[in-house]
Amino acid sequence: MKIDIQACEKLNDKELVEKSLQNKDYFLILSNRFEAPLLRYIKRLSGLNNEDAEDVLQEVYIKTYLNLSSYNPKLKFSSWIYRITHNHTISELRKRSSRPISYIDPQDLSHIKSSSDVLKEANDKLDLEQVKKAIYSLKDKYREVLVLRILEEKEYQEIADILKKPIGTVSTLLNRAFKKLNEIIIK
Amino acid sequence: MSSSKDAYKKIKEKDLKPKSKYSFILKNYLFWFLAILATIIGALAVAIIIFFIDNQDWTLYFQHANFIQILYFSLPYLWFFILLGLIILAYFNFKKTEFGYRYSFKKLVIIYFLSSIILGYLFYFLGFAQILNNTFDQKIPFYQNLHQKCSWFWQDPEAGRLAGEIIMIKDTNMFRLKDLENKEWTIYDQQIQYENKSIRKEGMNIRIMGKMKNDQQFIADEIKPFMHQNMPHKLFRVKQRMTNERNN
Repeated sequence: MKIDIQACEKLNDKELVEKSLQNKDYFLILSNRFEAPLLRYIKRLSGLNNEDAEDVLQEVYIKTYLNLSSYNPKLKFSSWIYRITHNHTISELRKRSSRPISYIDPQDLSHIKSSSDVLKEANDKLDLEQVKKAIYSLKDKYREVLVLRILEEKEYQEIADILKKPIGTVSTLLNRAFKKLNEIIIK
Repeated sequence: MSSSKDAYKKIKEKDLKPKSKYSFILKNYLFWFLAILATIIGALAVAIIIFFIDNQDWTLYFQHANFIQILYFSLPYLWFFILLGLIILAYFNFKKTEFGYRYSFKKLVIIYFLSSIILGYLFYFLGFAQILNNTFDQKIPFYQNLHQKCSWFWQDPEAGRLAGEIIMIKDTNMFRLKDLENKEWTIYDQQIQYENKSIRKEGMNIRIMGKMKNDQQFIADEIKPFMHQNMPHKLFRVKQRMTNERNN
């Protein structure tokens, strides 16, 4: 069955999930929507090169498709697919037993500068290398929330849903992460 | 080719299909079931804890023992540990449900604790604690020993306290008792107004307050079941008291 790509653009993620369960062609449209942000997220989280990140993303899509009927529409689809991506990337890193390598684009710097009052003090001194070094020297739990908040620009509830943590815990982690980041940059 | 196209190609080639919806629903319900089950059993543990606390002679204890001793023998620690274990079990099962992660540890433990207490009190009020406790007493050999730490308190005839099993009813004024150290006594109970006559029968475990006449005879001032074993539930006792009052 041929699907009308233009008509699909009007459908929201949840509707596309419903249709993907009936016809796998729709899943291609759905996964295509998240291609760029998820690939970037994998690289930011793991520091993998483009080729490896694409392999990971491919596995994420297959996993997502296999578990598609477990998706609950009460949750944002983006949060759900980010969660699968997050978990798969972390387990991939564990398999390779490697520490994440820094991956931050120059344009990310402006996000970082405007992200938090806590960083105001350090704002003038910020340069990309410093920020990369600072973020990737943090513990995983702090780095994960910072990447989601600053670079992926996710809301607190979305971060909570992606990491499967209570929102209060996310808020505490973010506060601590900003403070630690500030300390490292000022030093 | 992009990752989405690669993945799509693989899905097509291998003819992959999404897993059944029901397996996920079943898994979610299983965690809910285990969490609720742990809460209900936790509530039963609370009911038994209340039962133990309610059936202690606190005034008497505070007159004759120090605080550490009272803490040692009056509280059912086994049930406190069971309750703690069940709260942890309920917590982990609830966390595994679909949106369980949204609730903090503190919030969940408080909710579980409060629901266990409320439900536990209800179970206690309905008499479940007593039924369970009696069943455990009869079926689990070591259970009685775990909860009879207060034995030493009741095995003190010189101080006017004696406990044990009624082994023979002689007549309306006296019966024979085997105490907790297997020594036999003749108990005189003619001055006692029994709230519940059913405890005055062979095989019942009782505790007595009174005076030691000599090393084989004891005059009872008050007789109660030992840990209220085999006693009718409070509700029935109230009903019985009301019936007695009406008849008098």
